[in-house]
Amino acid sequence: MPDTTTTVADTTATIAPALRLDGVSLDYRLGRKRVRALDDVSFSIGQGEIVALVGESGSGKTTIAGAVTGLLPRSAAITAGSITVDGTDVTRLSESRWSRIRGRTVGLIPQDPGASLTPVLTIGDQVAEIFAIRGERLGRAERRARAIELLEVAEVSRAADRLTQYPHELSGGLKQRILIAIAFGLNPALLVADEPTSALDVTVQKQILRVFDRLAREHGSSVLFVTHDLALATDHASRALVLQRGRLVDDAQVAEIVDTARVGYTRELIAHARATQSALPPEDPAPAADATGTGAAVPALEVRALTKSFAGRRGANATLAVDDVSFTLPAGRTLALVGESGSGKSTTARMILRLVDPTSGEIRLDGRDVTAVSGRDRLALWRRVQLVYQNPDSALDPRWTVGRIVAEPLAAMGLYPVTERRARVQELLDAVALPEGTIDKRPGELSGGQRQRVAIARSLAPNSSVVVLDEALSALDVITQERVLQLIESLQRQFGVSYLFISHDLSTVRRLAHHVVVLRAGRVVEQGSAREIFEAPRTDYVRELLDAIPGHRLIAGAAQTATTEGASRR
Amino acid sequence: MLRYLASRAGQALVVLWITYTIVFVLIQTLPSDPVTIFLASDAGADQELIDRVSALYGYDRPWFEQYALQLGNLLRGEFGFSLSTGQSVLERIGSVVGSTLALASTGLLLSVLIAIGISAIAFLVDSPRLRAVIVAAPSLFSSIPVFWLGIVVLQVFSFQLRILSLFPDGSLLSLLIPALVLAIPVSAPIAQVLLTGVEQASELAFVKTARAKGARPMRVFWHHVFRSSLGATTAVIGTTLGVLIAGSVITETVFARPGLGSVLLRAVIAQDVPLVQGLVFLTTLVVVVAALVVDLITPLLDPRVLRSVGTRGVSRLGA
Amino acid sequence: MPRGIGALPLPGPATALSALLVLVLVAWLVVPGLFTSYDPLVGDSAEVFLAPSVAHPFGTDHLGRDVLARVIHGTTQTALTAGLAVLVGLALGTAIGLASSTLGPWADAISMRVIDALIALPAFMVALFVVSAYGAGPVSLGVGVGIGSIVLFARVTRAEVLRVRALDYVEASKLAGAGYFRQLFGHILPGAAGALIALAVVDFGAAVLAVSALGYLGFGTPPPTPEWGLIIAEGRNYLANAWWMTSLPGTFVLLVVVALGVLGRYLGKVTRA
Repeated sequence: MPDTTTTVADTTATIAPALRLDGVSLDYRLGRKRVRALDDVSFSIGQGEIVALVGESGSGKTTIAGAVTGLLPRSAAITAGSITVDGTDVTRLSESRWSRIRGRTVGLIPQDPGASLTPVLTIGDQVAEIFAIRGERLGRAERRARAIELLEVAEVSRAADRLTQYPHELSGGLKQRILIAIAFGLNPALLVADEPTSALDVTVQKQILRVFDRLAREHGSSVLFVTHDLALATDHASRALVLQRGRLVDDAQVAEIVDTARVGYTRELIAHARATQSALPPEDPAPAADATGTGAAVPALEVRALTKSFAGRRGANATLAVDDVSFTLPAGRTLALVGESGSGKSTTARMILRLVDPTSGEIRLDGRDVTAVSGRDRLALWRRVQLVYQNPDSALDPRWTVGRIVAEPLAAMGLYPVTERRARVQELLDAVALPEGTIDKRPGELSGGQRQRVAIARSLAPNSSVVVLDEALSALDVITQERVLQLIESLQRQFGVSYLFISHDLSTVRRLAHHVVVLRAGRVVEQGSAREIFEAPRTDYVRELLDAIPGHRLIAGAAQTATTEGASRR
Repeated sequence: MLRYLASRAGQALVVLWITYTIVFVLIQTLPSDPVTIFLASDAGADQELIDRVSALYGYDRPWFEQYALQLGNLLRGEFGFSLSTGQSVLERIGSVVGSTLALASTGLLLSVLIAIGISAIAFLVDSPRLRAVIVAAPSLFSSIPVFWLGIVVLQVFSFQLRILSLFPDGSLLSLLIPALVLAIPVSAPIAQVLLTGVEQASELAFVKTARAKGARPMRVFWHHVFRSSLGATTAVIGTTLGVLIAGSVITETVFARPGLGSVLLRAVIAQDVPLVQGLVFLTTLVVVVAALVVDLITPLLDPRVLRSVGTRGVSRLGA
Repeated sequence: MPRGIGALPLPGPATALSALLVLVLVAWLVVPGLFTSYDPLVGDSAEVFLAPSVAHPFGTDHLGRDVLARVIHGTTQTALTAGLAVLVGLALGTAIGLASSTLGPWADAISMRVIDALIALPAFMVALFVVSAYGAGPVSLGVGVGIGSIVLFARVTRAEVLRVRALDYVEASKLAGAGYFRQLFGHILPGAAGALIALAVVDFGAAVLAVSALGYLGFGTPPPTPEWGLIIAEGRNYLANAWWMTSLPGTFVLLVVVALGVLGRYLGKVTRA
């Protein structure tokens, strides 16, 4: 590490670096406790350099973004070291001093575009505010013209119309473009982009980052690009800083990382990223099993022409949330329902669980028609189909012990004699590899990954044959995600359970699914075996989706490494 | 917008009708009728007098006729007649209501100023200790017994400093000081809403954006924090009118000001139920109309409101 | 408590002091005689208008009674009346809130309109109305003040039940085969109870304030029985020569209400975590 920082310092010795952190340690005060968030972090960013800061949640990457922009919560205190932005020491500035630095010296592109614009002000007001902040006195017409110009540079469509609109009238992608326009409009020496696209769909993410890359190049800005996604980092930055539990564990050129990461933790991240990017989809051992009409095994789940329309409010046209969706999930296999937000994938899952009534169509479970079951009759259905939620925090009652939570289906459905339930619960907890003694703990005492394991154990409790995994991995950190993913795979081998895997994340789908159904605006765009979808997509939309998955350099790097290794072996 | 307006007005009428019904039910649960109760303490009242007065007020009729009769009167703007003076409710308070209005409106104005002051200081101040003290102010204010605060203020200004006469003398000070006493508890819920905005400000993403633009703290407060709390603040002002009325009555008693308070308290002591009932309706009407006005103003202050309201009143969103 | 001990926010000094004050109040309520040797009703004519001292921390009044003794003995009247008010509000309020949030759309529509009406009725006016109709006294005072807090409990119950019911774990419980009552008693009510308990504590403080205000106006217990509002009212006539007769009992009421608020907010935080 020291050698890389010195090289950077040497090359930029004459002019001040855009950003320099020198042995920064930072604590959060929680009540009377102090929690260390950053521990002796040092790095610098040269003028015009684009550097990614990579880490899982809790690694301290957002804290660094906050420290560099002076936007930390009040409970944070820098206990050691110094931060210099464009030659100015900003380690301990008052809020009013900071307000002079921010905007022009250091800018921010925030994490959550949905909440980052003031809801009660028009877009025009919020863009034009930067002129007032810069102290420029402009006439109405000029202010308007300049605002439109800024928006157009960030590729905001119909820029003139946007000025009178309010944030809630715009899409997330549009809001992020506006925020990018505002940040570049102030032309800061250093720009901090804090997970700028993690709240957006992949295709939108790609467009936004293209705009961002172009503007950064045109302005010659130095960028600190904060992200949890190593693949995204390697695509957009020239250097990467890897953060783990508040410590900087790696600082290297992206080209080096891709080829030969020296640090163990970075290697682990790279390996995971590669595994999900380039893994071949699982082979379907018996592709003929769902061939029609030949007396083959009954599919676990069959959906025919499923449709759901929601009545429009006050005479508006009814909207079709799900439109004529059909697919078949063979027993013991995994079928992924893939789509961006609003594609109808969750509504489809909720209809299958009979939590939502279908407008028309047919749902068959183990060959039996369950389209019309309602009320308490659904009990028999729920013995067969269970659900694992996206967020394990809200899926488990914080007041209940793990034992009681996992036993709830047994108690409520009257399965297993009372005396045997605890043994059954323990058996399930062992199956999901939770440590001894977890049975008497409460969810609050477990980690996120452990909570998701508890939820999976509960879903298996009634010996269900189909488990719906509703974005069940997306709330977890990458490394945890990897472990839960492996668990899900092994449970399928062990119990022959079928999965309906709902996801927006194609890289995890690639790992898990045998069969993929791609939804868009309620309709099936394309479906087929995972191999067909990933290796030979037939539609532009799916190609676009695949193309939007970050990590091209990683995969290219892997291919290169593989060939060189092959060559040297020969 | 017109549809919104009409539905709000319709709801206000329904609310008035239900409040009338609740009060009517309360009267029906009395062991005897209001006239008997009123005349019970009067040794000279015989059964014949009671019957005569009861007939005059309609209390001898079956309950559903009474219900319809009184509702009809209310719809014509008649709030009933006092048992002790025979005057109509409006006549009874007509001469004194101006003084109460002056006190209440001055109090409300002061309370809004206090609330804004508290939230602005809490946002702008850097020292965490000072901020903790300021943030605690509203819950302290809402815990102060108004009658006691009035007495303490009277003691200090009249007996120690001798700058306030014991009885109102028409001077500005004799209005401002009681109004300030009244404003203290009324400011609490308003300040609470504004402070919530300020407290969240460090986490709110849009405040972060404004700060990241390089806006000065004052600008961030007025243009973003305060501006976005304005809708909720207006809504809560509508719902503090109940506190304002209670505070006015008590403050008037403490400072010996003529007004609604003295009429009301005399009516309660005399058990003049029709008069108290009329005053209950009158104040409810004021609250409902205020809520209606708030509902109409809020969409102008917060563009999200019109879109997010379903069937319920806007004023409930902020409260 | 829902979470593990480690996750509990520790009570700060303000919370600890508040809890102590409330404990003292409970003791005064149960055994007032242990805390003062003076008679709250009969004074010593040789000891009128004594300023606060070690013997009489709150001084003495116009009849030579120890003011602190009257405050201690007054706890019974004030606390019981305020307790009645909270009980009325809690019972009727949670009933309306539960009806509105669990009995279907019609019950919800009707309950919401009743809630709207109760919001519009100024609580203080309702209390005065009840007092005028039923005559002054602790029971009508308690009921009158209690009607005013029905709406608070109704709204919090409704909001909490709806909040908890929307959580994934309640739906998970439904998918696990739990029926209406199993969901209600297993998840929804325990999840909503914390906020209601916290509200009851805060509301008790507000009720103490309202009861003593109405007691001050003379609608509570008739003298000489001590009640906090009445004690302050008695001092009103001696502002010029005996500041302690009003200032000290008033400060005490203020502290009690503040303490209940602090405690209620702490409970709210703990049970919500």
